[in-house]
Amino acid sequence: MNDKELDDFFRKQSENPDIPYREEDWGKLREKLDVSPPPRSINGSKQGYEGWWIGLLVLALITGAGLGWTLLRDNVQNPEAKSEQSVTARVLNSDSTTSADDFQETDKTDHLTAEDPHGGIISISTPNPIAIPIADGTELEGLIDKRTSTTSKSAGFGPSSNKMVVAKPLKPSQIIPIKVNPYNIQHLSPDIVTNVQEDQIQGSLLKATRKQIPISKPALNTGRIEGSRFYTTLTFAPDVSALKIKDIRGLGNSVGLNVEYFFHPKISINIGALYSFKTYQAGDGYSTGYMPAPSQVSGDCWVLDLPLNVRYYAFNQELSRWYVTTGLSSYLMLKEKYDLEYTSSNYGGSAYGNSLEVQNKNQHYLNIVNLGVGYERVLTNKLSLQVEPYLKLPFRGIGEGDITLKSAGAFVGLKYGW
Amino acid sequence: MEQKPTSKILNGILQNDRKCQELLYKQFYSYGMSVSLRYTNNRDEAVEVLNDGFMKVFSNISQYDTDRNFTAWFRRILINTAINYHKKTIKHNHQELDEAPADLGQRQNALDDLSYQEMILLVQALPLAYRTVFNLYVIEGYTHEEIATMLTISVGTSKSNLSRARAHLRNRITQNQKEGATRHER
Repeated sequence: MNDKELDDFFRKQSENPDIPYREEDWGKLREKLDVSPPPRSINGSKQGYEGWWIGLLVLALITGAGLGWTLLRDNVQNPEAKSEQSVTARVLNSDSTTSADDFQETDKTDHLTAEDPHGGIISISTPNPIAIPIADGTELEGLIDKRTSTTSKSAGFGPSSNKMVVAKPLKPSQIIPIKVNPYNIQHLSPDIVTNVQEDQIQGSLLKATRKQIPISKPALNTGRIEGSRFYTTLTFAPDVSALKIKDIRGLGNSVGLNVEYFFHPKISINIGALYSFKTYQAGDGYSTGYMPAPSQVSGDCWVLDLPLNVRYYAFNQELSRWYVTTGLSSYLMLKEKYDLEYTSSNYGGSAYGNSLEVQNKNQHYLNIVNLGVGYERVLTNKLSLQVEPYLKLPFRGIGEGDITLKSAGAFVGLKYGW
Repeated sequence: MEQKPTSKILNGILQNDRKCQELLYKQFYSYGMSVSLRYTNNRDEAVEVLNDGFMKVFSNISQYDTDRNFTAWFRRILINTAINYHKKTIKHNHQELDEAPADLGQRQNALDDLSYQEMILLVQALPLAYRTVFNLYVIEGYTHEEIATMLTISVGTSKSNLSRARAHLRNRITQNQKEGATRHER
């Protein structure tokens, strides 16, 4: 029997066999389906779609829990906070035209206007005096109204919400350096008090007037968090990945944590860990080394993304700020699954396919450039919400196929200040 | 005649309808088993590959082009599933040429007398690497270059495995024939 006879025999035998159906075989599959039903897909992407909703749900739950906890805590502490915010102004000059009682603060914000032609200074104290000093011209640039002294209670990021009490322009010799943490609202609280030595205002002629402006409640007791430069952000992002825009296959996602450290009032360093699912397809660009390149690739990758970024807070407003982020990411490819399609040269012109799955094989350290622009909004004195559209651009091929897989998405993060 | 699932079944599977899944399973069970049996060591493995293949069909049914042949699509899924099932073993093709099915020696004649069941047993008795190449080349019609790519082996290995598979099958068939003749003389 030659090769042809043998081949023909097996080929013929393989045609249309009648294999009796067995109910128990379906039973096995039914059990499997009951335990883990086949995932629904968006244009072929299954896990990404499910992950999107699961991620959103988790984020919503965590956000709700965080807000609830914070509000509850604030309510419990509020009475004490109110009493602590009672501010008394005392003019340390016998010639003053006002008295301490005139500055007794109620539930409203005091705006104190003081004028002292001799450069005199108002000193204000509270039941829990925190030694905050008058500003140094450079460090507190913008923080001090040199003609007015102002207190306010709103939560916010910085200068406009500062509670500084100042009189008329100080001479350089009269300016006392202060140590105010300017990294966030939390360091600039309503409890802040100016405290100036008496000999600086001796002999000054001071006139102070007062007007009251209603403020929104509840007042936030934020004065106790001093000096923190660390923030943690729980983040989630829908993610699209592709070699080319036309090849976008479906939606991936990222979930993870980011730790932020401010080494400058406007600049922070960020490290994080994101568990990402990326799904894509490609017509070309996938390399199989010495093997022929497939005509079509569909890929699902589970990646541990370790970003190392620098963030610059460019625009700070009372309740919001804008920032830009850049840095590098490391991709640890936890699992890669590819469906490769090849065009057949002799099998009736039909394509054939192959699947490939690898785990923990490819790691790319600091190979991906991160770019992002973000917006941050204050929710409470400790929590804020961030939204940051981003791009991730590898400058070397990644994964088993050595592809330049670009990713884009938008981080939605809940940021917590320690 | 080409088998094709109805649009009702396809739509039902899109909705994850269990009854439609069962109908498709019944309709293509025999075909699917005929493929998976040739790529696996025994029936249990074949059922496992078949069911994994159906899982992929159910979850990727949206990718199926209804203008094209369903069995070709299903066959490709099954072959990929079977290859992945044994991928590591296929690459290490130093399997011993043994483990012939016990009941193969019961036949007196050669090819003409072999049933489908016995043919399957002969194929299943091949070492995995030989069996896979034999199936892909002889039954499916792939070239050695294509097989090399699919299995991540060299073209030379593919050719060598095919040659050894044929030799092994020839020996088994001849051996069975001789054993049958001996018993017949007694």
